[in-house]
Amino acid sequence: MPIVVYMVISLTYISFSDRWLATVVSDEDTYVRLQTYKGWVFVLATALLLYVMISRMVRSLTEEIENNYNQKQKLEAVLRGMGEGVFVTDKNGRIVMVNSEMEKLFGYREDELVGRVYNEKLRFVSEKTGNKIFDISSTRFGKGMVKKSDEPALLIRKDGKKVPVDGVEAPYVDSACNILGGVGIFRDVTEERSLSKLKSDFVSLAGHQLRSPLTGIKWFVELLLEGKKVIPLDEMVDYIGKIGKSNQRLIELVNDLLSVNRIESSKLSELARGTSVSLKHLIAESVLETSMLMTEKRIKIGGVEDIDDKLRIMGDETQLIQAFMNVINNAVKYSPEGGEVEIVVRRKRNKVTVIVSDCGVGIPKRQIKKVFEKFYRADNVVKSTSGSGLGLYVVKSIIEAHKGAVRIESVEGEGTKVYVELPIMYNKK
Amino acid sequence: MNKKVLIVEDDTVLANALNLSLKDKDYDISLATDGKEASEMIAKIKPDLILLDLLLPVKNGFEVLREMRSNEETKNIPVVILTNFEQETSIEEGMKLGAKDYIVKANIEINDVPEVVAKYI
Repeated sequence: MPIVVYMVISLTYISFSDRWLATVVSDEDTYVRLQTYKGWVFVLATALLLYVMISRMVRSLTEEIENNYNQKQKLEAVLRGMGEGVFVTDKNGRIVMVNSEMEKLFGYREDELVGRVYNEKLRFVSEKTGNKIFDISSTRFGKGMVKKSDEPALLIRKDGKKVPVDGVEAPYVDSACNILGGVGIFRDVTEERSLSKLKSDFVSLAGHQLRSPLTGIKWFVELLLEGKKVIPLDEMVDYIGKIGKSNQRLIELVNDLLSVNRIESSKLSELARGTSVSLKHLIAESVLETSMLMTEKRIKIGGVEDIDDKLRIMGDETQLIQAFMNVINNAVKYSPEGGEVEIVVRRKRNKVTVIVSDCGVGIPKRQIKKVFEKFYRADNVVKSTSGSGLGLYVVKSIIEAHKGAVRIESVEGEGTKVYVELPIMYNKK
Repeated sequence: MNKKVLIVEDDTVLANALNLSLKDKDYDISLATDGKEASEMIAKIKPDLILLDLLLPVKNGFEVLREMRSNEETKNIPVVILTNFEQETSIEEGMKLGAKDYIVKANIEINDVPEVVAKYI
């Protein structure tokens, strides 16, 4: 528009100014001189106009460039500061930027990657099949597709190590939808994946453990209902006894699984702050919970009365009773009939150690450490006594949450000593 | 002479049920309750069929199976894996080691066990 106005004014000025000048000036010399001045006025006015226009354009362009630069800086700062690994490629798949998280993930420095085609150095494989994935970024970017890892992926680091990752790569486009390049965002999921594996292993093992007593019940019911023959009464009683035994195992197993679940889902460390409880009370209650089995096996427990009344532990009473009960129950369970279990408490500075000793079957030396693992049962008891293999895992979890420690000394065939160490939070004088 | 069946099962209740299901048939039945005992009995009695559990004390069922396959005298004994452990990888492994069948204990009726034994013995 300003150009049109300029043209109209210029044409009018050029076409009519001479005629107008001729009407007001009669002298030839004056006319020529004024005509020259008029020409200079036109040139100067045009130059001034051009100067104003160009300055405005320069100012606006400078502002635009500065804005773009600031935006780019901000965007780059965001990408660089992201807690996840980010790389950016151009439309040919050449890397233009890599953030520090990505450098850590892959083990390459940014300068080793910039300018390289994306999949020349950044390699991903499927955890399941080992086949390359995320391998055709430029084609995918070319098609404008967002690609998420739909199967567990591993990235191959510079040193060859494989790291479990989860991520997405996507194209970025301009306002006219032209693809300018691609962005890949990845994060290390080692912990998540190992947790998920632990969970699935746990479900698989728990499933197997539950199936055994259920199969026992199923098979003996089927034997009873076979119908082709008359089962003698004593045999029938025996079958029902086996069903009862399997059922009891199932109940114990479910109870233990529920304890494990409670422990794993609750914040035990918060529970452990709980209240101050008497150690003697905790142990007496735990012994009481085991009294049925003790009576059945005619087992005597010594040492409870000698525990100092003043010793107190800070923690969750229910959980601590559960832990001591599991230890005492094991001592009774694996002791011979008529045997003795001894409980001794030792105090050293601000810690107290409860030692539960039995003269039972003991644990094979090489399996002592393993008995704290979920579902682990020592070879020498797995056949003779029932159990879920969760009891000591529960003990360890609870005691450690109370900032304590548990360890075992045992000689197979001679007996076991379980040492439960806990901090004394409060000692009432 | 009666055919010999070896039951390898650490769960006494289940071992008892398997034994009962086969007691009216003309088999000589033996029982091993851990992997080590199983290997010893396989070498000693050379059974005509083995019903093998996988999760066993001392030595697991795969180790027992591998060991007997490497012994000239026992390598051809038919084995039926009878377990409650049901994972694709273990089924594959069992079949790779030449088991005749892989049966999940919870999925079979005890009264069908004689039929399975008769099929593979």
